[in-house]
Amino acid sequence: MPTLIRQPNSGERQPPPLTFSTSLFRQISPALYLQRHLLNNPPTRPNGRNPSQCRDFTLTTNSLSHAHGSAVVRSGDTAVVCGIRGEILTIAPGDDPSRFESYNGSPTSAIHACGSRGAGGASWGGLVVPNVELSTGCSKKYPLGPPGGLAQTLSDQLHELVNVTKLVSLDSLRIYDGDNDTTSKMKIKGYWSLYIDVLCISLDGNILDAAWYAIVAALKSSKLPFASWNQIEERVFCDPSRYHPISLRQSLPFTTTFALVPVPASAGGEVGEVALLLNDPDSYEEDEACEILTILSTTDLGTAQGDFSQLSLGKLRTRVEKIEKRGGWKLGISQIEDCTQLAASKAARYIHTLAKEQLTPM
Amino acid sequence: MAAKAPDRRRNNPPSHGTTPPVFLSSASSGAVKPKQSSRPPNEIRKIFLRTGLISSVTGSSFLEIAPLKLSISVLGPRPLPRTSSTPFAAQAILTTEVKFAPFASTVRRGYVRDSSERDLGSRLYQALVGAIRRELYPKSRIEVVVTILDSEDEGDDVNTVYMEEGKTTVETKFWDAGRSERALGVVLAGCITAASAALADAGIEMFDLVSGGVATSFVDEVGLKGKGVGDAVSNKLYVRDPAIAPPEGKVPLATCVLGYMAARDEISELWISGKVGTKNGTAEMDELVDEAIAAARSARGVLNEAAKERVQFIVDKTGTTEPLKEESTDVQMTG
Amino acid sequence: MSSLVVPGQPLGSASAYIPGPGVHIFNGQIIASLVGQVVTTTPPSSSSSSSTNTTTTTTPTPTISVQKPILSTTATEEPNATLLPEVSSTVLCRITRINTRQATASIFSVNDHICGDEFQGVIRVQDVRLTEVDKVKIFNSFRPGDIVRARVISLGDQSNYYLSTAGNELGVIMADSEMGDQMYPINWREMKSTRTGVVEERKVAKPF
Repeated sequence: MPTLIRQPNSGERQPPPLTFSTSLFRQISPALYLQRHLLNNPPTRPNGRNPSQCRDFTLTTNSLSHAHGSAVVRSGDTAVVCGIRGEILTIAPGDDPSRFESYNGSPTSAIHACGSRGAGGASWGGLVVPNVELSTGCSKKYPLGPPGGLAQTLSDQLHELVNVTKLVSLDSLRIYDGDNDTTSKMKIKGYWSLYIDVLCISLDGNILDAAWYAIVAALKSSKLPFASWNQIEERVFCDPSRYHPISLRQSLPFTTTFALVPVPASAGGEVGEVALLLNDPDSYEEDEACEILTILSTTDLGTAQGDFSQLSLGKLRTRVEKIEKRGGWKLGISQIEDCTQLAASKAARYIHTLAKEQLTPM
Repeated sequence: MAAKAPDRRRNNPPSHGTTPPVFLSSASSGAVKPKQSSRPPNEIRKIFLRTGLISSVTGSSFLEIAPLKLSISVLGPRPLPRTSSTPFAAQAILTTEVKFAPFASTVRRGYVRDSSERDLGSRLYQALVGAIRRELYPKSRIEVVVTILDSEDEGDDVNTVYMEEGKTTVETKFWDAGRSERALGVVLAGCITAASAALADAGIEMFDLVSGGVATSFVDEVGLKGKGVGDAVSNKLYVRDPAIAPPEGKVPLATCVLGYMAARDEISELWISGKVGTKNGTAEMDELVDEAIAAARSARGVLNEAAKERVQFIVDKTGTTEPLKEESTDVQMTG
Repeated sequence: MSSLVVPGQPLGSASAYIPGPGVHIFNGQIIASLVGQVVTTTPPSSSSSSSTNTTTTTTPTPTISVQKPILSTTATEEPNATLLPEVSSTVLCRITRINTRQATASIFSVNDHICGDEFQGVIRVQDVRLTEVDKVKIFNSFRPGDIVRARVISLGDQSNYYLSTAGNELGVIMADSEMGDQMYPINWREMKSTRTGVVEERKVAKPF
């Protein structure tokens, strides 16, 4: 079906209309193509969703044989694989274990986020190490080779999220002296360090949400071998027959990302643009977005837990933990509230899917 | 472990360095009892192969053979890199990259490709390059990117220390010497089959599809130690698509991996490692290669079906199997 | 049995068919080189008359090819990812930068099909138009951002395809003015802004 590019205010001399096929129009003028779709009534995105609709997603956990925990998340055409492997950090004599404990105490992430990539290598306390790999041929836009700007940004964002949410509690990461009896205060001999690797297999926008959900689900599904300090051999050994889960924080936080796309203000003044919020943007929308809004929130399912069909949004108790908005567009409080509602319903679906994978959130 | 220079583009582990978990096993017998498969030696494992799952690239495939899981993207034909070092190329330039995910094996892999990954990449290149009609795509490049998500190896046994009468034996008990060749061979054969499917999915013209096959020859444990060579030959057992665990009481002699174009009966890549006797002429090698070809032929059926997936989808959706033009009679298939 | 073929599959004797796209010849056989449907087309009678002087038969040799079926019903046409610009193909491109000698462009469409990647091409100053070639100034013909219809005249060097806009139907088909609003063509070398009425110079393609 040919699409006409014609000016709405037709002057006295009609410019000859230029016709293109839809796919050409999409290619030549993506911003206009997106606007035309969004100015429809009701607004429809080129991918057929309405602005507040997110993509369906699937979750598979523990499908990898060598990882201590793993998750595959597919959301539309974005697919990520997250694998977690624990390695042991042994505290050398004379080291002060309390510096690792600062992971819990540190109120801000700035120290960790900066320190881990600084000149001196890792900072104290950075026991959880998330990395994102995009050079897997997931999209033709990202070249192979060392991590580019987006991969580095994502790794850093996820690291900050892990730290700021205090997602992993240190309880299950400590490794004690095995020969002490349990009544006395046990001596910390080491820690589990968690390598979280997120590989993007297919990229079609909004990788942050998919990656974060994969990380949470993979951590949730992880089983670490029971490790203890062996005094005779003076090293940490694991028991091949006993495993324990990684304890996470009480209510799990989830991210929900929106793209802000400028559209001409329909009512009133001819000039000026308003931003339209698109839930769970794909690559095409991300390219045209003027900014990205990410909400980190927790949702309490309350009484309806376990039965998703009886959920109503009104019953959800939502707490916003973090809002990240990069850019200078004006957003009304009501728009933010709408986003929070959408984030709550998305989080409810996340939790529901986790429960279906027999990973009941604590 | 010595702290390596930090990677400024990634989040780094604690500067102390970390070590993989080491298991302490009280099983005094020590010897690892690998799981024996009930599969007959002339049967390959079930192959799960899908194509077209990645929308943002030209072609893609996903392959699963028991624990082995890999994802392949085909990018291009796309313009040559702008760097002046690339000369004009009348034919398409093929590049192949193979990378294990850090969590794909028992010992955690690094982010930078190591020598075995580069080796796999160059062998995959050899297997594919002759099959692509590169002359149809001048001054362009075709990239094949393989991401291995999971693979078969010895498991946690490589990190196990055994306790014997209060003392620990630190030495690790490997099963046999040829296991890494078998493991890499299975990976390479999977890469070849899946890459062909991805190239066909991309719609890149090829002379033939290449399927990968792998076979290992085993002899009795005593047969190898004894002096009689003829004895060893008589007890030879060929296993197609071998698992990492050797059959009970057998030791491996040699492993053969190849890329095979079934329609033209051509071998595009051949890799034999291990001991292949030449006393009986080349009969021993021929037998081993024939076994690997048989394994590749078995994979070809799955490959054919997977390659059709995208086109079949379109045919189903348009609801017609009629070809587009008039005078469309089905052509007699020869062969 | 599905009618789809895979690369390597023999389709018949090479003497019985003329090989079309998607097939190749090996050992006297026509072999498929693509996944798709087999299509045979018999040439029109004009060519059959030429073959009448051969004594064998009057039926003309059909052309055999393998084609991917097209999903034509959906709104978004699938871009043809394996499409490459060839000599004499008509392309659409976006001007990316200009200097006094040439305009550099990014090709995104070949023969009305979107290609999978963008290819770089150049329009040299002598290839802009057919007449008065020595008076052409790149600056008065193209500006960065213009959408141009052009023809490939050479595969060029390793990085650029050589393009030409010498022809009535070739040249700028879409352009924004310096103010950023759309313009429409008023003659073969000028375009006018729809909002401000400012006229700018371009090598304009003949609208049709």
